[in-house]
Amino acid sequence: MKINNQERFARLPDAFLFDTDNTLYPYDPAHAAAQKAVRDKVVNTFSIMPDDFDQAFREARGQVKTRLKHTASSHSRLLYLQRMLEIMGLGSQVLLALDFEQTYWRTFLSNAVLFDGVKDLLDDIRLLGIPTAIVTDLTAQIQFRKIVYFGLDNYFDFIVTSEEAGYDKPHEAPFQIALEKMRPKGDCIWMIGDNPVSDIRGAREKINAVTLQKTHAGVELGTDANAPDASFSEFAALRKLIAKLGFQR
Amino acid sequence: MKKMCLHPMFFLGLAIRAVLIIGMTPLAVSDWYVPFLDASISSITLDPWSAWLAGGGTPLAFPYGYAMWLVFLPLTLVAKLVGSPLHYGYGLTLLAADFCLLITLHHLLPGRERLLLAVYWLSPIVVLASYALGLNDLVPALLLTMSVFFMRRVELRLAGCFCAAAISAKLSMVVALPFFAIYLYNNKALRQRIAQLFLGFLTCTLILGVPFLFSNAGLQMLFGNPEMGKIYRVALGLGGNVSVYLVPLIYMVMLYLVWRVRRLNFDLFQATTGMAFLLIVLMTPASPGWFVWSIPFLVLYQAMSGRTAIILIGVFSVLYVLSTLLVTPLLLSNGLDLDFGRVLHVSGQLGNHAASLLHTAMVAIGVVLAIRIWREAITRNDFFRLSRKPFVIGIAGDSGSGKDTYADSITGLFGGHSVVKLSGDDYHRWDRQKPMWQVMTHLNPMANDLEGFCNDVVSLADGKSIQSKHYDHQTGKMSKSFRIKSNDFIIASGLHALYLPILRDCYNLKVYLDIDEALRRQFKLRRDVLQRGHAVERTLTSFEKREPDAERFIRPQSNYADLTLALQPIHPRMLQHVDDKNPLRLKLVVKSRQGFNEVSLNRVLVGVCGLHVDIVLSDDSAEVQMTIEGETSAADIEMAAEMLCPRILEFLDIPPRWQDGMAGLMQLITLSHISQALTKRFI
Ligand SMILES: [Mg+2]
Repeated sequence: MKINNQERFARLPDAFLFDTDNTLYPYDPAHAAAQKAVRDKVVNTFSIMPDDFDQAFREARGQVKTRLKHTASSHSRLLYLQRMLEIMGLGSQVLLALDFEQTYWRTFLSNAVLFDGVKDLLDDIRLLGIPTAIVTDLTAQIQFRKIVYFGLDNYFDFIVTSEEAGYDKPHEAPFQIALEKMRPKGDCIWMIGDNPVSDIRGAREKINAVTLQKTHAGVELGTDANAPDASFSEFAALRKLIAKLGFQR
Repeated sequence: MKKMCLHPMFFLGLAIRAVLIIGMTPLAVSDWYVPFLDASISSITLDPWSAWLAGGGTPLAFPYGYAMWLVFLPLTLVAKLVGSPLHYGYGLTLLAADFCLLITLHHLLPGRERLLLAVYWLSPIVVLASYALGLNDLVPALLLTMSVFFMRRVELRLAGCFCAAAISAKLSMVVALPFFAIYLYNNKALRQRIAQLFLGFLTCTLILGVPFLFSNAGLQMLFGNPEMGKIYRVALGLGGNVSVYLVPLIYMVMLYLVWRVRRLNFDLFQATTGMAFLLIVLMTPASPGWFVWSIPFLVLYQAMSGRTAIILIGVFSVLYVLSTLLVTPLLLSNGLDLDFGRVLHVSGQLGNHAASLLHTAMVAIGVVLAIRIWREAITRNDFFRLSRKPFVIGIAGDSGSGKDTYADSITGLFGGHSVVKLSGDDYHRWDRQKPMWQVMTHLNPMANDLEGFCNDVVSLADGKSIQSKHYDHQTGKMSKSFRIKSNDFIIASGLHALYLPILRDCYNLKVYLDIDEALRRQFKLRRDVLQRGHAVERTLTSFEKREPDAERFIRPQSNYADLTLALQPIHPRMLQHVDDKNPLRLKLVVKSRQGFNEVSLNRVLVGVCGLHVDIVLSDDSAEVQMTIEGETSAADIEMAAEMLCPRILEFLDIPPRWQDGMAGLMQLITLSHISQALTKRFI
């Protein structure tokens, strides 16, 4: 645990906000496995080269992202796949798009494993009686499925997706909506996330949260305006900090 | 792996090994192995044994096959080239094998780094045998463990290869072979693939074994090896010149016991093999090399069992080391020797007494360990307890409700080799042409030989074979009788499968297929006309004729079912407009009386498969009803099963045949019920 602003950690917070992807579980391995499964399936279905898939998919994703900018739908795997099939000259192919999407998420979920200590941490927080919420990008449908898959639905009090908020983080909307739902007793909010821009800077600038960055291989520690108040690589360290503050209370 | 290799315990073990490699030159290494390897490097030959004996070397020097030689060759060669003492090359090869074994065990026991380091990497036996005494048993132990590892991953060709290589490295490894064979043969899903193991085994034997047969010197050294004689040392004299040798006796009894376990899973396989090795080690004092073979199995057992096992095996290892040190002096590289017997002033008669006492204590602990393995790892093994008796599933439902299709889909999961099916249709009293059918429908219990059906189910459940006939739906005639053997899973389906109370008591799981009536008529019309060649009118009138009997005899059976599966059209109107453009879409209504795991099932169906689920509890909470809608694929179902009932997956065929859509859902739900019903056997 590396604490940059000691004075902001004088007490336990009144609410916890959590990012999901790459914060509660490592995103990259799950995504890589899932993307490969879809590529294999597409390559087998249409007998095309893997490179053709990569190119068509990249193009489709680029188009969807440009059109939808920072909204939840800009992350929609279903839209990417639909557009990809169209780019490949096959029309919309609704059934195939759905099938590929399900292949992606099934493989994704089966390769996603919560970080050690996540459930223990959430249990600690539950026993301390502090409200928790998830503030995450992407669409409600898939994020809900993830939460259910991980068995986290009973741990969190609230969830806000960018689909619900209308904007991705670091826009203030998702953070504000989370606070409106939670009605914390005070103004000390902790935001735990991996992304230095959307989670760390966003939460500090928009709701003046105490920010904690989860780091592991592939995550860049935020600097300057994106620097977190503290960073940690193991959830065990965060649990220790919370236990210490809880004891002082 | 990184986590393991950065652990202080890893460095401690590494340091101990390094010190011993530098500080010790065991007799066997300096007098036998190294000179032998030196000789075979100096004169390039493919038959180093002949070259060695021709040069006047002792036959004790290298009584091993090509695998062992090839493993030691590269680093010895490097040592020679850089001009360092050759025994460093030997020591480093052992260290490499040691490390590979650690990694292999890590793959077998992911996430157990600390345990591995404590019980394997810091095992006094491994350290003493390999680095202080210079024994090379780590090499065959590694090859055998690799074989076990590939066995677990069901890559049988590689498993066969490594098994042959282990035997080539050290012939004594052949003791493991029968256990491999029993494991593969008694597990019917694996038995289908046994040829792959043979293929790998034969290929490797051809490469490593056959050339060895042409080396007379090699054979001479191998079979002249006095080490082998150790298995005859413990004997019961029967008077005259006849004795009973205890090691072979125990070994054969172990083989019989393992055979009797019947279907083995991987855990049972490794527990039984480990136990056999442990017993052999117990009966062969002061052969720490032999102990090394059993270490990987003991590590697996310790991972499964827990603290007591770890302490027992720790004490056992320390006693073994002490008793070995009392009788075997160690040789340091400065030429001095370290004889603990002398240091402790327990030489001569007193020394023997002390060694024997130590050994007695060790055997006592060893026996306790063997008993514990038998109790914990074998008789309390889930798979062992579950596969003692066949599992019997009873399926009832009206004609055309999909009993056969359903039974086939369940069979596809367990594999035809492990399932025996009994169909109620084969117990109709009369051929179709007989006049009795004019006054009675097939739905009438009187028209069926339920007593015979019941006797046959009881016999099969008891593991006995039966004589049965088969009803041919095309001709409407019964075949001649033939023999049916019992099997691990018995599926008894029929119109009246749940009719008699005694029948219901036979089943471990009772299923009723309660298909939507309009849907059933449509399915049955299609099947009877297209597959069984009946006339359309006759089928239609039979619906009316059979209705009262269905109401009276068939549907009440659903009250006795643990699980009711009902396929229904998403909307009743759908049935009227089914064609290519409007394919029939179905939903599955599941009713369970087992107090079943609907919460986790719901979680998996929604989270993984992305389906729509509706759960209703009946008023008295005795029954859960679940309505499931949506599209799902075989891959979804497979993953859902892995999450929902992982324990039962070991019983499934390799690979099991999962189905798409509603049939797959029925497979999943049935499997979770089977898993629960099996659990009842523990209570
Ligand atoms: Mg994130």
